[in-house]
Amino acid sequence: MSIEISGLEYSWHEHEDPILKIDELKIGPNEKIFIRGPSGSGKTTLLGLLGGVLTPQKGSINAEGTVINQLGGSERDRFRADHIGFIFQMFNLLPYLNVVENVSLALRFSPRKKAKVSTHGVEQEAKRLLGALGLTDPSLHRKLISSLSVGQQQRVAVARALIGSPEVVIADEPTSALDADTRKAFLDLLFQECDKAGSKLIYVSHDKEVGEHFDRCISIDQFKP
Amino acid sequence: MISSSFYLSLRSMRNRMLSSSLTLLSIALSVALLLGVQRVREGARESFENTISDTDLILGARSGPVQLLLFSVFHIGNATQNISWESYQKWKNHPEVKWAIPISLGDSHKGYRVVGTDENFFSNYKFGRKNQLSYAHGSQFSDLFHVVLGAEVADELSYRLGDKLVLSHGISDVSFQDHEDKPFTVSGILQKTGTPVDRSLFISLEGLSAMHADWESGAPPLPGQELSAEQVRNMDLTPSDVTAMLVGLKSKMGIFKLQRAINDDKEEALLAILPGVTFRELWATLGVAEAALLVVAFFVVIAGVLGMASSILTTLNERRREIAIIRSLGAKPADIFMLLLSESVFLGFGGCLLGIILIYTALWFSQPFVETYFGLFIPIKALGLLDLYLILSVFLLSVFTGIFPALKAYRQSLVDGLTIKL
Repeated sequence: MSIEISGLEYSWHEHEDPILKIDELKIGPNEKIFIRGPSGSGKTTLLGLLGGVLTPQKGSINAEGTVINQLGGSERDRFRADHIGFIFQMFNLLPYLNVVENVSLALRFSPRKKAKVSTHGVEQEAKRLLGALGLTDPSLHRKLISSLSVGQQQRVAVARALIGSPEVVIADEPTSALDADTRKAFLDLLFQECDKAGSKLIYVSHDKEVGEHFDRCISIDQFKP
Repeated sequence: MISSSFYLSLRSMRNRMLSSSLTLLSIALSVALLLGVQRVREGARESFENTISDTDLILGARSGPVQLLLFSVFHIGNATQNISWESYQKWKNHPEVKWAIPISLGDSHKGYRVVGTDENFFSNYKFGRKNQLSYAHGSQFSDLFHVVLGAEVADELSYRLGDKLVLSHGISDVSFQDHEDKPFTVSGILQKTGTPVDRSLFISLEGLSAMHADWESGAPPLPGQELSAEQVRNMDLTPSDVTAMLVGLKSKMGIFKLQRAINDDKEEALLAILPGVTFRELWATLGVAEAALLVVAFFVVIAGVLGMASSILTTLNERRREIAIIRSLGAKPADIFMLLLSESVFLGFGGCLLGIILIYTALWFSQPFVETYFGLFIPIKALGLLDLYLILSVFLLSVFTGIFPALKAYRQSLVDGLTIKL
């Protein structure tokens, strides 16, 4: 399954010139794509469109066989819950939940994801993912987010994005708070787990160097009208 | 997903324990105040209406019903006129009448009213839920110069059985005209009743006549014309009049008929009232203060609920990041609305529950104290229908007020989308 965007135009208000224009973009299954763009370049808009919180004025976004811009608001929210996992820049996690609760929170809004992990059990699956991401210490699983390092927090965020094996993982500058060494290790882990889960990865960042690790790199500039 | 909203809202509130519990407490206190005012209102009303029971009619010379009730039952104020002894006898012996208690007022002892009456008072006067008077010590008067004391009188003035006391003419606190020559002996002290009986002294009608036997038209005897206590004993002490009478009927069916007959008495201008009706009339005038109390309590509730809404609103900005994260996990804007609304639901519900617990605990601890110092018995009983309506209205008010921060979060989440604001 893949994501196909065609003839897309988006502007903040109707009758204004579009700020984002994508004639054709196709992301195949298991593909890892790097989209480069500095902040303020329309990155957030692109993520909003892919996540279904924004709808384009023209064109279509066909993801996993569904034209998501034709869905109603709550159907798009449901689509996001069922098919996408998000990782943000930093402070991805809810401070009042512990590590395992943060990871399994993704399943609360998606019965589909929940059904996928039901064979193992929610908590087991969360712990398995955390373990695979190097957070093996069981005492860590019950800890509050604030007691974790930034690197650990980002790995928890990855676990939350991957639980329930969504078709798409969208990452928005997840490594900007990490130093170069940790960043490489983080990316390797992310790639490895995305492969295991069978998720394609859309990675948005201003950092050219990160792009070197990807199969495919595009610049957001080409989507500027 | 309402369950997810509830789950997150509870966890989030737990994380903000201090501010959440303060908000909860402010709602709980306002609910407790509201219910407390309700309890005091009911208690006051009940103890007021329970001052006298089982009495079907109160008779006095023609005046106002409220005035008659005030002096005959509460011993407040004075009668302008009395009932003649003949009328008293006539209505006492009426075939419909089961018993009659004479009440003669006019004297006092250290600020407490002296009531002239007879043995019918001790056997037929009822208060509260048809409680009869009973004695803490001694028994009713058996001699002309015996007096029975109400509980408070005995307590405040430290009288015991056998003590001799001098009654005063008139009802002013400082009376210069004492019936010094005819002291009374305490023959009995009544149990506490929580009614004006506690603040009264009771002597026989004959004793009252005896005190005034040598008085001429309301003036003390001239020197040389005094009669000693022993001389008075041999005189005819039938009183010439009584101030009021309390009447119990054989059948409740005859009340209105007898009331009309008394009010139409051609021989003497009399007034018969139904105590319950006049109580309600009197309470209606006092009820303004009581209603004002409830209004004030409700304003406190409104203040508590507004405080809750404002504390939720202030957290909203700090929670934009949290809301964007939840949205990215697939939460609908409606889920965000519910997330914020459920906070008001929990605080409102918890506040009501805690308020109920608070007021019952407070009542349980303060009940004896309030009864001793204010003479007000506040019954501890299950919540009434009105209480439930009040609690429900507090709950609904907090949910309703919670709509505003929830709506703001809803709009905010639409604008913010997945954008994480710091």
